Amino acid sequence: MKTNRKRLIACGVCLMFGVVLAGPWWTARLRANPTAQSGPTVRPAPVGQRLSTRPGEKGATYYALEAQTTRVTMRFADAVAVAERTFEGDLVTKLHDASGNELARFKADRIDGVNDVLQYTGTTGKPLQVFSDPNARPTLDWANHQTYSLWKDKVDTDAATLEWRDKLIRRKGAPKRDFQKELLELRTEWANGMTARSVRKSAENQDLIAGRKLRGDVFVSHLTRDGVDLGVMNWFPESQVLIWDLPGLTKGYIAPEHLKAYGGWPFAPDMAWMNLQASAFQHYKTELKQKGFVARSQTGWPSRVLQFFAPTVSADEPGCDGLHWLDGTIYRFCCDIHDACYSQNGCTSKSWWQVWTSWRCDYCNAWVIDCFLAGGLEGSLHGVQK
Amino acid sequence: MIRWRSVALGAAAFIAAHIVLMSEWRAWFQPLGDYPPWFLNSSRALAFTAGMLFTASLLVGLGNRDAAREAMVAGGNVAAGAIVAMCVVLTLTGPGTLFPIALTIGAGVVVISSAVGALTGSAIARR
Repeated sequence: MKTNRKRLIACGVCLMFGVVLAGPWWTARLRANPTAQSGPTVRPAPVGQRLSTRPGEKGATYYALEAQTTRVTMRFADAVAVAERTFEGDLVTKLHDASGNELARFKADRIDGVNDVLQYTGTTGKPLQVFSDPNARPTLDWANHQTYSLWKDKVDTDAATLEWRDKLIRRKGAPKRDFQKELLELRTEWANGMTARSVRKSAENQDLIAGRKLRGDVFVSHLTRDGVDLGVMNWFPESQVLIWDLPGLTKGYIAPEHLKAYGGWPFAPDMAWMNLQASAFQHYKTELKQKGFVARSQTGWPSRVLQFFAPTVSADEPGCDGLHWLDGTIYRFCCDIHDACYSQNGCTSKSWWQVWTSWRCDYCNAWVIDCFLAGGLEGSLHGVQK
Repeated sequence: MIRWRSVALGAAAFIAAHIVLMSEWRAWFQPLGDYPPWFLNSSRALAFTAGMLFTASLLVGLGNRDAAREAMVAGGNVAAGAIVAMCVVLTLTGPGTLFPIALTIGAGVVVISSAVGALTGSAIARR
């Protein structure tokens, strides 16, 4: 009897512990504070370092700008490809011959960026449907290249005969080809009536920059809005020189020596990039010109009198501070890099005489002096090929 | 060597030019821009200030019938006065991030326009 009572008490105690430990209020707390399992680790991004994309890749800004384009037309020697973006974000390309006869159709059906479906219908009329490759970023010019490439490779419906090569679907064993060289003209259109047209030409004037010969072919991009010319850009692939002139907004050039600190051009500029860069120049420079700088507060008359004789100058204006008549010249590049250097290292104009405060700021200042001297010795931009 | 009247004339010419820049900045010199009034912030302002200094030096040169060297000294004094005024104005308005380069280029503009003005004035006076 005594033993049974002890057993009964022991069972009751165990039951109480069981109820307390396994109670819903306790498990809820446990669920709210998981201890053992953890998610993927968070990678710290280094502060104060220039972070860039993989070499040869264009960055997110490029794709954001590209996403704003509505139509890209590419003219090859034997065909014309027109790619358009649908309301849902799909890309549709139609390939025609010079007479307007349809040669092929292509659609990039955007699902989730990983499982996108590509549909191609060639001359046989039977559709080919395959999954896209996550490495191939679907852009309008890519869709045109892909369509033209599949047509040139005489691809039919058999996916087994295909392979991914340089971010394009190619027929296995198809000869290597440089589609950029086969491209004669590329036209990019935006919804706001802006159009950029790039063509390949041979350089007519090799002396656009003093002390430098610009040889070989040149890509010439004309930016227009509703038929009105907005500006011109040139890219000389052989010399790796980019020249631009958007009257009233910006004018200048970038040569390989300007990009030494960045390891040269991080990618090979092409016609599609030229058109986007021209539109980016137009957009950002116009915005800068229209919006200006920080708003100034309304103050009393004593301050306004003082402002008349000694107006407050913004700490760091875009362009050449105190030398803005040089903003449209080669020196603008020196000023912009100097501004970026100041911003990155927290420098002020005091760093010119307080040389002991920061070696980095001293480097910024020494660099800009060297840049001005080099610009003066090499001469400035003479013009741009139309 | 120091001609205080020429120095004062050079400083006065630069300050007068700067006052005109401040009052007519948006109307004449930089209708679209948001930059502060300063003679190196606009090509028109640069031409105007150089013209003012040229005129001041021309007047100094016209009153100098001596050799070209004397005219150059007088022009140098005009330039010195203008450079001092330029430094004061830039200090008051706030030096930008490129102020040593701006002062160097500005001094070059001042010296050239003053020298040309003084030599021209002297040449006219000697006829």
